[in-house]
Amino acid sequence: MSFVVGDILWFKEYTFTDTGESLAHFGLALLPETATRYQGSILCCVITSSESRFWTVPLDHANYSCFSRKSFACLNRKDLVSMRGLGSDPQPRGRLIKNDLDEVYKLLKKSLYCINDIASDRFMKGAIIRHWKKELGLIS
Amino acid sequence: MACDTIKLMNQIEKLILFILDRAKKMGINDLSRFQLFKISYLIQVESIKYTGAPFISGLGFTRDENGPISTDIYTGVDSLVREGYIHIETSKTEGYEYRRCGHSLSKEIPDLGFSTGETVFLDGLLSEILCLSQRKLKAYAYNTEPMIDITSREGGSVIKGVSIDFSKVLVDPDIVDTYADAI
Repeated sequence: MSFVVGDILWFKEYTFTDTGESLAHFGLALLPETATRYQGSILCCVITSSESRFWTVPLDHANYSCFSRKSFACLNRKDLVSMRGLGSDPQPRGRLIKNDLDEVYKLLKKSLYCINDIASDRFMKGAIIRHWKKELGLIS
Repeated sequence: MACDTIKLMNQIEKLILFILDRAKKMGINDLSRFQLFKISYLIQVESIKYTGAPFISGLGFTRDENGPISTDIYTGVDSLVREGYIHIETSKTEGYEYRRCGHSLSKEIPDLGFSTGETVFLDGLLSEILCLSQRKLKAYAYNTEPMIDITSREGGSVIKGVSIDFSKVLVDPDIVDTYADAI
């Protein structure tokens, strides 16, 4: 399996880095699989159906066949999730549309410097920005 | 014993081992000296561009006929050969004056002690550049700000031995913006 940033993955066990709790969840890939594969994990932010005013990007289920209701990419919840927790194929279950990719990138950049989490490390930040800019065609 | 050896290694030696390890995992048997120089150089450039600082402080490069080279990398390779971590196999390349020096790991390497962030940064970049041909690797290196600066001052003839000025690398505007947002 090969994932790039903006892919929507289904985890039968999505383990939150901060609490260690595992739940079935969708996750949004924030780094390509090539950056984290040797650690057996994927950097994701969780996607939930619970609305929050802050640090979320709404994903209209009309644009995503994998969602049954309006969902939210939560950029204040970043996790290195074990690939062992991935659900069965097909994966990824979806991919952000261009407009949502742009919106997520805008909020992601802000979150990298306002939220102290697993992505606060300067190399992690640099890797995230570099790969998102590549994906959005902002750099070659 | 292996852990003690790793502690004594400098960052340059660890980086060389990391690069060779990832090449091996990607099915690339060995890397030429040319590839080791250009890949290490590009890691330094991309690190400045996306983190604001070189990956290894003090790792210097100078201008040579085919782009950036580093005596620090030479020294690191020599040390790793002496310690039995890598070996070099030379071979003749058709139509090329010099013999190719293929660098590969001689044994399994223990944990090199890079942080998760450093590892992710390196893996993301190496997955893109390890598979490039020498020609594309050279083009990538020549398309960086320090090399553009040097070649623009050369006027067509290579001036070997000039120190490569990493201060010419521009930090990515999104990195600058996001730091500014936080302030």
